[in-house]
Amino acid sequence: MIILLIFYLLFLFVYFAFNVYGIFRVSTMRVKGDMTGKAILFYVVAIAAVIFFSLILISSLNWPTNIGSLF
Amino acid sequence: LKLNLEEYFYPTPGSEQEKDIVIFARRHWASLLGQIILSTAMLIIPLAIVIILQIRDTHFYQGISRNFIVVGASIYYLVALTFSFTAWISYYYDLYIVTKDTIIDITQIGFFGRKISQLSLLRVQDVSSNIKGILPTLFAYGDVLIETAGERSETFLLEAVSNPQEFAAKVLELHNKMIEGEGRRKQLMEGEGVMAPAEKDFSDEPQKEKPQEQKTPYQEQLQKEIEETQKSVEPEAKNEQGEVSKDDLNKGGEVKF
Repeated sequence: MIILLIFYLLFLFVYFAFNVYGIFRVSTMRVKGDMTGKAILFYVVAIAAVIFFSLILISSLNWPTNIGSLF
Repeated sequence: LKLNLEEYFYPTPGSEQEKDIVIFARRHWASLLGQIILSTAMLIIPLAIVIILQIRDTHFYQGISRNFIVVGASIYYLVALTFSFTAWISYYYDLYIVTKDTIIDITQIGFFGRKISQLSLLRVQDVSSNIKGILPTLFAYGDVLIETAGERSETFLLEAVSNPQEFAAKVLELHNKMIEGEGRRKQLMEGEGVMAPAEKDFSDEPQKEKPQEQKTPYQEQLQKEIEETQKSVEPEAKNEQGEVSKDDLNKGGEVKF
């Protein structure tokens, strides 16, 4: 089951890279008095919350189990 | 690097060219309603399924399947968040900027896609607005279609604009003001083929040389278009003065004065 965890961590790495560059591009389009700052803050907090709760749940699970025991 | 749309050299609020802006508009928020409903459904439906399965006591959240469910749900919610944010960015950065002489349409497609179209107000020939459907009628938004003059007539579509009639009227007003200001209405009509170019005066009186006027880029562009149009029209303009042939009528009733 460790492979599932590695896959998840790889996904997180790609996801972070995509979002950091995406947010950088968005910040270059900003216009005076727009709502983009608040929107980015809301987006980052939401991502952090999802990852935080996911990691809490992941840490409470049993990972060393062999995937073959499922069948 | 300027952290502003200024990097594209457009007049935006806060930029040096701010004073040139006549209309700075975004797509109407109601055009985002479908996306809002979809994003909300994407966030709520999986939660609802989990709650229903838990109530029915299906024991689905047991053993190793829990690992898959947690990782899968985490990835799903992260992707759903990015999808929703991207939809908002696409909506929020769809901008319509009308300055004293140009219309700029910026279409944002997610984080990395951007289409920017510019149209000189001098080229505007026809502006129409279109409100169609229940939501657009309720919230007073619709499309504005701008047609350009010249042989290669193009259309410029601005979608989900608030108060499209007002927008269209303002564009036409700016266009009229611009050509009046340039004193080029007659030349523009000649260029569009509405009026045949004036004949040269070959009288014996020596003509005084007019002082060379400083031409603006728009005047130069317009002059070039007029000359090209005249070149293409010249071989066919063989009718006698004042006579209107059938062919001319098909072209919009061009009459030689």
